[in-house]
Amino acid sequence: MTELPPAVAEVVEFSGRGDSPAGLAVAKAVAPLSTSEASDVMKAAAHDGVTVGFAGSGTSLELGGLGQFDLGMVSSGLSEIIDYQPEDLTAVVGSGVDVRDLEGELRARRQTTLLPTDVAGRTVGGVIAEGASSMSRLKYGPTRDRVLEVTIATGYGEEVRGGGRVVKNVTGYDLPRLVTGSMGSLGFIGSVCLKLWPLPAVSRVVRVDDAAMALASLYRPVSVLETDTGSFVTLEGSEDDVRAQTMAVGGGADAAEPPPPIDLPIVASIRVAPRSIAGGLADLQDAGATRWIAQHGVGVIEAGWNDLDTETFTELRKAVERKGGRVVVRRGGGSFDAVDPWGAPPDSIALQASMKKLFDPSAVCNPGKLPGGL
Amino acid sequence: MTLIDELIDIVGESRVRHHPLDLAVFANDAGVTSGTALAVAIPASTEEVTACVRAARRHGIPIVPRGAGTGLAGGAVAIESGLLIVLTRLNEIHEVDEIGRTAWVGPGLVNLDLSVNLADRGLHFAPDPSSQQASTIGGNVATNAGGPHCLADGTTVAHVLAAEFVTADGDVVMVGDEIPDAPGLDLRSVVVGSEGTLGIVTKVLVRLMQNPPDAATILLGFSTIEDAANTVSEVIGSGFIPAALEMMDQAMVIAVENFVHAGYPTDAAAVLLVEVTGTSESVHDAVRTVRTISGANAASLIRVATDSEERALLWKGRKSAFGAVAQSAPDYYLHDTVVPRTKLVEVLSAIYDIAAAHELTMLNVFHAGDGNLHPLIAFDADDPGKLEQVRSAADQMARVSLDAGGSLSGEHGIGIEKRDLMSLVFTDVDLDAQARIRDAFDPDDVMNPGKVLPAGSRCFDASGMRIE
Repeated sequence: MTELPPAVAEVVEFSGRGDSPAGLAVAKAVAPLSTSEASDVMKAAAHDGVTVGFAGSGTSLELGGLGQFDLGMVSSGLSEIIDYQPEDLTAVVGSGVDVRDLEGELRARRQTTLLPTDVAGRTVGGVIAEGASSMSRLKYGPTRDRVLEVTIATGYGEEVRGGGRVVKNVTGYDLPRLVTGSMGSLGFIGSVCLKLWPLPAVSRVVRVDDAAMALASLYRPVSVLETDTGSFVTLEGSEDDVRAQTMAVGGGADAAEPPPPIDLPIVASIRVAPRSIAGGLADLQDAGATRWIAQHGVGVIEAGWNDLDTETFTELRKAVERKGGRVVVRRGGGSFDAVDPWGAPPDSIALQASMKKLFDPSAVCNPGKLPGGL
Repeated sequence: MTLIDELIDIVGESRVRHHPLDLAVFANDAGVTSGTALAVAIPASTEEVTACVRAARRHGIPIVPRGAGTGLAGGAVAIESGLLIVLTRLNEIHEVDEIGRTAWVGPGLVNLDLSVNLADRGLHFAPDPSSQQASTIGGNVATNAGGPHCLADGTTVAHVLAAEFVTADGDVVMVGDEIPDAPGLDLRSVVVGSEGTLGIVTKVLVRLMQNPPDAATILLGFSTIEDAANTVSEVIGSGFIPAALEMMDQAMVIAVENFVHAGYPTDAAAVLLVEVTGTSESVHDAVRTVRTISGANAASLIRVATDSEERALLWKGRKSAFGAVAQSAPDYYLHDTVVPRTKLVEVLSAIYDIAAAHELTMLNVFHAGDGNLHPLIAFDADDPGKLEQVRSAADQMARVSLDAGGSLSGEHGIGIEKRDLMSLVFTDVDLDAQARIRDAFDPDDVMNPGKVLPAGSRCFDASGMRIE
């Protein structure tokens, strides 16, 4: 490979999964200190056909399959909060910033990114590349709606910026939303500008009997969850407001603990149209899930198993796909290595392939992580 | 066969226009650009749209999609020798899912008609551009339209889950999905706001919102714009985002008050319209907060409307603003830039200076909560040189917004009107990436060519070498 720029030529060891940097199955990785450095590396990689696997802290590496890459690129050198403007409710941050650390800074000003904080160590860049949303999306919308501006190092080795640092913008195509959830297929995320939200006075988790009824009767609850340990709603607002909502939904006076994240050997994400959530849950019972957290009104069910054979998994996937849904493998290993991580390809796969080719003509950018092996 | 004959075969003679007088009807949008098409086709189904696109392709004719033509940036204005495909007949509500709170609708459906239709089910479509009595959902998708209530709920992109989409080749593809987080690239997010340059949306899956159980609209008057702007910042900093937070300057208040008699204070330098919605407890708390903050910022008037009639009257003032301007002059140029909220006062002051320097009549009504400015310049286009003068002032206003860290458009789009200012926002490398997004959908540049991106935006060839 062409010489790497000197500042990033060193191999970084990282405290992720396994021995290699950030858990990537690579012998060598770079940690660029700017998006421009990252684009220099990508330019050299594109020139020489060197495939580059991207990672934040490596907490979601299995999503889309572990992949095989010649070189790793990690965001640990981009862990700065670049420009926080509390009055404007915006923050520009490096992709390597730890979401929990960032939330700590913002919460001191009673603000939040609304990004998921359930898993320790997750980076902003990782969350955005995956398009992962927190459970508050029922009320506040997905992470995609938080990303105002993005700077990426493209597969053809240029530093590209899209969007802007304002909360409302239709200046050109919406690159920030396109990059969100793109699994690093278009480029390595260097920095983002996030739209922030003020923290409410009170936020309370309340146990309810019937999640579907709670969803129908409440006005814009933060989340309505049906889980293996019962149903919960999250309510926000002023003290009076939350008290009134709690009574309206027949919740107990005591605040409940939200269900902990699913940490089991096998984890999958079931995604169905919101109206099909009960059907998705029924399919999951048939597949003998150990734990589950279903988001009513959203259509996402996270599920975990202590043990699951791939045949049962395939039956589950078929049943969900018949409803127009998808079952995505988040954690598998062993026999799951042979299972397609995404399932049936999307209708727009041809357009997706042409988009991928234009942003990554040499197919060196986290290749194979999208559905259809893109 | 000529293109016209083919179009007549597809949609019938009554839905093809090609005589000069008929074409003139479609020559303008609500802004100041115009253009005459070679022909206009008005299909009534996805199949007819597909056939029109294929016919145009066979004849090597570029295509411009159009809804109601209420756009302000020229995105739906015809290009010479192009085919204008008007989608207003695809105006059905196909399916409403009350449990999932979504609906499949045609792109030709008028924005307000959807919410009116859903009222008895307690649901509505949140984007509410001022044009909502006329503009179509498809047009809203094309411009990623906003409106006052996008402050809390987001612009159109947050309310479109999926779209059936006819590509430049005439293929029908689904972008987005009924399911959340559909695996793969979210092409829906670039189709929304693409101003007809990527293809034609023929069916839209929209997200519906619950109608709020309670609401209050608060009218506030201030003797300085600074006090009003500080109130905006402090309300948003106080822990809740109001449903809407609109500002009007004195010139606009006077025009509106003459027209609607909504009871706006004409002696105030700035008026804020704040709407809070939610449970009755949350509305009660929010009203108290707004009262406290505006009082501390020397509000000269605080009027809280809670009954629907009085609320409607206050909103009528806001929503009639553009109509009210007709009293001042026959034409107007409505600008649209966004600045960080904290720069509102600074940028507004520069914008007043620009209007004064050009001796132009300017009124302001805008989405203060979003920092989305809408300087409105009233003028007479028959005055020789006036439009050029207006454009030159508008150009300067865009520049001061950008210098303050803002953007070129918040909700109207780029179209033709702002296309050549794109290089003020983006480097040539950024614009090249924008052109790649377009190429992925439309490599032959037949969908609404010449809109949004300046000519020569692709600056690298396929092998990554810079094109000189």
